[in-house]
Amino acid sequence: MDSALLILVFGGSLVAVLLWLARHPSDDLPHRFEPPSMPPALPVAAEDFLATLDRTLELPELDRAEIRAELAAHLEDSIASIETEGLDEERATREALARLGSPEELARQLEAARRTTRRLLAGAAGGVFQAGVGAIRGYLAGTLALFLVWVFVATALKPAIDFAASHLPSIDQQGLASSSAIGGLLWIVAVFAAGRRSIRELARRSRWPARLVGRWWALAGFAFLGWLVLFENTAEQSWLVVPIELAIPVAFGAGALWRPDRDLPLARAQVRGSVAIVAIVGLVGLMLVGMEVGARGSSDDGYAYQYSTTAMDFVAPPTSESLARLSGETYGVSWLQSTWTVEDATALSLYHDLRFEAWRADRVPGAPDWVLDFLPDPRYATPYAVEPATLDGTELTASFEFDHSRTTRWAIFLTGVGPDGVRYRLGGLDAPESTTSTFCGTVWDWLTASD
Amino acid sequence: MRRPSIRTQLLKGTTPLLILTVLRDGELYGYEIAQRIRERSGGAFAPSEGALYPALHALEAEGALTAAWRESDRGPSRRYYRITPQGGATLAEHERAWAEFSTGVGKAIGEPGRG
Repeated sequence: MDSALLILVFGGSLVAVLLWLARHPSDDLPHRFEPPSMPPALPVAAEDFLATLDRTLELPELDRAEIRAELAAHLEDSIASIETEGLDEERATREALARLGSPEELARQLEAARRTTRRLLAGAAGGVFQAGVGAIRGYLAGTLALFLVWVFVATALKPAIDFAASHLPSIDQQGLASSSAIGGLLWIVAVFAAGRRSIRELARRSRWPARLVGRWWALAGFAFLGWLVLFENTAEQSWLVVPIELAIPVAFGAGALWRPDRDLPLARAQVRGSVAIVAIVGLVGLMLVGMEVGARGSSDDGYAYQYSTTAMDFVAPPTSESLARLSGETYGVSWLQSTWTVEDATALSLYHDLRFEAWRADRVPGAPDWVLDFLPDPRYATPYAVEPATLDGTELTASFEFDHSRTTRWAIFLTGVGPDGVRYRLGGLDAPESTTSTFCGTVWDWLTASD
Repeated sequence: MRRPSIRTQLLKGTTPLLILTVLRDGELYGYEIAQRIRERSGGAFAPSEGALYPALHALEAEGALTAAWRESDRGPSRRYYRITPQGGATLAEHERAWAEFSTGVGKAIGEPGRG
């Protein structure tokens, strides 16, 4: 289904339910109940009855407390009234309890009375709303904290950053899409908060205990978010990003299922502060490696390699000099426009059917990670993509789409057919022009893509 | 298992009607509601106290009643129930249904004046 249509249907349904609930606000809005400061002093048998009832009731804590207080008041009145008829306290208590029947049966009937379809719908609507609120708050809080710590780290830990920049490989140059990874981690935090906040609201409104209704809520959220992540969310992908994105629906389920009736240890201020610092420093570390190191650029100092095209299906060049050289590249998320400047127009005019060929490539053996010169991958005997070269004055251009390949390193050659009908390499002779790309698509696109 | 008495079975379906009827005159808490029904029936019957609270909570969940904690004449707080406009409509519906039902049963069993 089209995303816009889905949002329209889903959002419209949500608004309709909220409007419907707004017409009946008085009995659906959860009230605040404060147990009496001086609960009645009841005989032991009556206290035992109430304790059994409380243990049996599968309702939220607030509801159980309210029912207990209401029935305690009832028993106080009932025992006092029976005592006026001449019975002693023990017999009056026994009679009052007999009138209420079995505590287990009473608990079952009270549960059924409180759990109406309408309250369940109200709980679901409130849960969806609170999931949105939780996600937004979690994401904004995480982003703000990340930014503040980033500023702190960037200023206070500059030497460490410089050290990392000169000694660690770039994440993005390894094709790992660090920005998507960081975004995914933020969403994991946000979705966990959403799951937790929503299940508590659902339990509060529906009168179903969170641990019972939570499994279905978690399953629904898992399925919805799993579908979004797998098929709808388009982002830069990599083998680092995919597990992070797949963890997003799991995080929702964990938020809804893990001790939903109780506050997390994280809710305690001192624990929250420590965990937040550790988590954010970890995230910032990832960001530093991805951004600072990635911005370092390349150098060919200190290594050498032998260039070989034995795996390629076209013959050696007719001359030792390239007839055109790379002069510029324009990048999109998953596309590349390569621009080459013609070196020898006269020689080039002897060739026709000029085209660029993008070959899957790999790092030069023995070269440092940060070196951006690649060699064609010998496992492939044909180019991944072929695009006609368009001549404009002294410039040749071609655009490539790399969005269906998990390969991130490419070697690009200019080829043309000579007067003898043979295709020759005309550019990228001494070394192929190397470039990188980033896969952009859904997780499903990534998992089903070719190498 | 002991079989419920005929009176209990007959009362079961009428509990919401009896509750709404006594609350039409003003707000009451649970024990008072049971007492008021007993008084108005001349002591002939009262809903089982075990069925009273589930019925009260069900009516509240349906929007027929609202409840609020308030200090009572007897000292500690009690949970007072009040009928809502929706509850008024529900009561009218129950009364109509009861009138049809009791007339029908009266005719069926050959009660004088109903045949």
